[in-house]
Amino acid sequence: MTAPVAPVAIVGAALRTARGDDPDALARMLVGELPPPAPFALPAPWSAYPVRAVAEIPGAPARSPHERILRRMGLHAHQVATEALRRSGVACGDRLGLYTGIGGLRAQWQDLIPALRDQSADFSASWSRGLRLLHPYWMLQHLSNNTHALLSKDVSARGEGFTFGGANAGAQALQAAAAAVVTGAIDAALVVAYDSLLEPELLLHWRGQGIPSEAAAALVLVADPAAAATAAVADPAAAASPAARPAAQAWLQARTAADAAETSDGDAQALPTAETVAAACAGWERWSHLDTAPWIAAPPPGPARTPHRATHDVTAILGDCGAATSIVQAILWATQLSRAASTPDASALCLSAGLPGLLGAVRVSSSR
Amino acid sequence: MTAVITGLGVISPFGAGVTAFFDGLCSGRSAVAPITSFDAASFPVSVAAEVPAATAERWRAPGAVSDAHARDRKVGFALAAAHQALAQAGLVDAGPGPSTAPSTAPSPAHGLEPRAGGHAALAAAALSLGLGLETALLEDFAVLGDHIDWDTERARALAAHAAGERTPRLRTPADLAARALRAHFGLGGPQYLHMSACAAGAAALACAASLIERGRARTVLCGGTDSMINPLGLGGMARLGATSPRAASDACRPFDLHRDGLAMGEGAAMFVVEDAAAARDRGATALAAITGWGSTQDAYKATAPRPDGAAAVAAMQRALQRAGLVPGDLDYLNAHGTGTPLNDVAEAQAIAAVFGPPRLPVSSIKGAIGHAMAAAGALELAACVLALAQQRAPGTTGLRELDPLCAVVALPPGAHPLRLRRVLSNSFGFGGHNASVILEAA
Amino acid sequence: MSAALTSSSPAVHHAETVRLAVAEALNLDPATVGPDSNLMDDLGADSLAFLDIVFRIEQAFSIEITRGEMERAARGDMSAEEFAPAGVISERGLERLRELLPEGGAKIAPGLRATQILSLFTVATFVKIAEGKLTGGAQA
Repeated sequence: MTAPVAPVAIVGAALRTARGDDPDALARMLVGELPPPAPFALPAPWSAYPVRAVAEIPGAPARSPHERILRRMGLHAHQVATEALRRSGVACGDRLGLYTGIGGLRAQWQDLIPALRDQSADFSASWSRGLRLLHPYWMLQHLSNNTHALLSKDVSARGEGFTFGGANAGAQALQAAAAAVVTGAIDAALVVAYDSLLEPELLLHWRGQGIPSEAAAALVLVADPAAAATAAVADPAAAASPAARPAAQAWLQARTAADAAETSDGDAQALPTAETVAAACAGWERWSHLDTAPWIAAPPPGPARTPHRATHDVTAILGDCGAATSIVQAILWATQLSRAASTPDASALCLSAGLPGLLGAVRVSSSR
Repeated sequence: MTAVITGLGVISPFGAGVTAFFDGLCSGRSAVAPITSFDAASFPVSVAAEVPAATAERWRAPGAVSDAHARDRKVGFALAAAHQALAQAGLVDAGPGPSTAPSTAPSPAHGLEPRAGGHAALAAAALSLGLGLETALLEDFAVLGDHIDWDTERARALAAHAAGERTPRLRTPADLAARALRAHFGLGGPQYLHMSACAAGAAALACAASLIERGRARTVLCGGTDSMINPLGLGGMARLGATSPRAASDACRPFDLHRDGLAMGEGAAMFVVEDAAAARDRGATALAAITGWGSTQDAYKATAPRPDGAAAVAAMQRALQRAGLVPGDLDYLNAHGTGTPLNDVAEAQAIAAVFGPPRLPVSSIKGAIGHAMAAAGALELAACVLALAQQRAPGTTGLRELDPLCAVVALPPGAHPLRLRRVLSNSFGFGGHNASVILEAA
Repeated sequence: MSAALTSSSPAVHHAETVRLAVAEALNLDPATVGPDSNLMDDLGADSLAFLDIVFRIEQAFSIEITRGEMERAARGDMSAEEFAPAGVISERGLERLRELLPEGGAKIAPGLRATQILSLFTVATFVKIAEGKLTGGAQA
């Protein structure tokens, strides 16, 4: 029934995480080649929440004219996407697609407080009691596709594209982008996801087993790196450096899955079940590295095990990056597999879970 | 593999069901009226196309994840529209629907039992849903905001307040809205949440067609749902200046010379999309086929469409190309047609660039039901399905004097009997996020 | 803004408040913003920036400036139909513009469209709108 989707090549990537923005160092950390970093702390503003630590991206995003609309994570996303595209050497224009994944709305209390402070209990006359103090840009700052819109303009991505939402939005975006590339609807896809779980309204109810974190991550996908290089030369408007020839760092497949929910209110905090994981990983039983948080039900053992299976957990070094996790995993494993020349046929199966019952699954391999 | 629509359900400002919806669109009457769901008297915008109070109350979300979700209109709209669609497709029993009794205290007993009469196909069905990003109920924000002193001790105050809380309020509510659908109908396939603003509803159908064509799903429940007719949504849009300043039933006048902005709307349209062969095998009736779709980005400006409509042109051309059609094959175009000065003229130019001298009948239903935001594209595609079925196109309610800069054959208000075999619907979201979808008579 | 507030004349005070609001909205050195600066041509404002400018002026004076009032700054009580039939400003409309928005200068010429009115706005235009609201605010 399910047609296999051919892998696509990762030809550029960039990210911002709580442990920095160097994929090589992060990949070494992940596989234990670098000593484990110091544990995350619980700085004062967050100490009243039911969490034991938080993992924040160090440093603010670079200054940008988009500050009037994009907030911190949107700016990080804009910047990693721009970097990933530049590194890829892929052409912009009508054949470049853009796929964005966002975890969810964050309330941005600093904007809302003036509008809420003097409301009455029944919210009568709510406009004159405060909503009139909402800035005209408030709606734009809250718009789900604001990063997508500004990014498409700045990198001239005029091909197909969508913005996805939810706890596994990064995996949704990867899958849609790969499908568009494989079917030839576009030559290349820029995929970016961002999420921050470090928000008051989320941490209030934190029952996650990891450390709440945040990340912005972007990568560029093409079906055929050689063809992408030709396209770059053919489009004189390309912002990317024509000298850079896209090289496949690794190959990627992405899927999403979700639990068959029994009830809508009883298990909203449920992680995806083993059945959901198995459904997403069907046909992917062969892998040499597994990247999954320990609280995700592990995939069923496959028939064709490779001899050197190893398990890693990206959340152990970065914290829970929410909807951005699948893309972070893809970048780190593409980096690791292209670095580890001794295992030419290596592959990593990367799982990330989101509440309620949502799964992102990515398979990264060193060869097609 | 071809994607066909075998079920359709609508909750609109004309009430529940496809008949009320399409008859309303064809009547030339506008559902835009003074807002009744909250006190909007002091707002700069005081009219909108609301789902009638009785309809909205009847279809409140049953068994919702949280109190906020029981009150979130768009969740109830989606459940009710999905029930209609699945019943028409023969995938659930055609009962009274997900909710029959209004209640302020949601409980699992509220409404029908989940999965009542559900078909086995639903266990593997995917969900592709366009929706506004989140619940933005003022009281949810305010109850927390009351306890925040942002400048000093935000975290401690919030956490202290949270001690008595038992349900999540604002944790990715879009996922929870989808969860309500998944749980109620027993959907077990992957889910896609489309957040491409005003293009989200059309994107959800395009995604569903793509899943079917690529063999990734056999059955997809898809569509769009949204409501921004609440103090924060309306206040934010009014501040942005996109809404018409006139408190009149013709606040939205697509393609009219004197158009001056949009009117807010709300609602949901849901579809069952299946592989044509599979639908035939189980004896389901195809209402229409989704044969083409295209999406592009303007890459121009955040707040204005590309004046020459070049990317909108490309979206329509991509849809035609996927469908294997040429422009002359189309019989009707349902425009995005928001009634804002910039959108309509840019869209008209794009239509002219694709279809040549004005020939193709065009209309916008936003004059009648306002702009339902993330649900707009789905409601417009619902209108297209019904137009194909009834061989009549809805006119452009609110249009009196065509703007000479909009060189399109804009159908005036009312019903227009036409021979319809292939139709296209445009949806253009914020920042130039374009989607075009082509439907053909099954 | 405090330096401006010490000024004795209300008119000077209003003009200074508007000038500073414009500078803040556009992230410009106030020294580069003069009363006659054209917002789009001289100061680089786009349509989005106009929203921010209006918001800041509203907050500074505790007034609300509606879209209708912005339009009336250009056409007075003339109907939209008379002012700009078919979207293009009529001869009478142009005359009205020269009266009400003389700062538009040579830009007020045949072929000007109603949608281009904002391109005529200077800092002084907003001073006029704000003062109109402050003196006649009761009936607004």
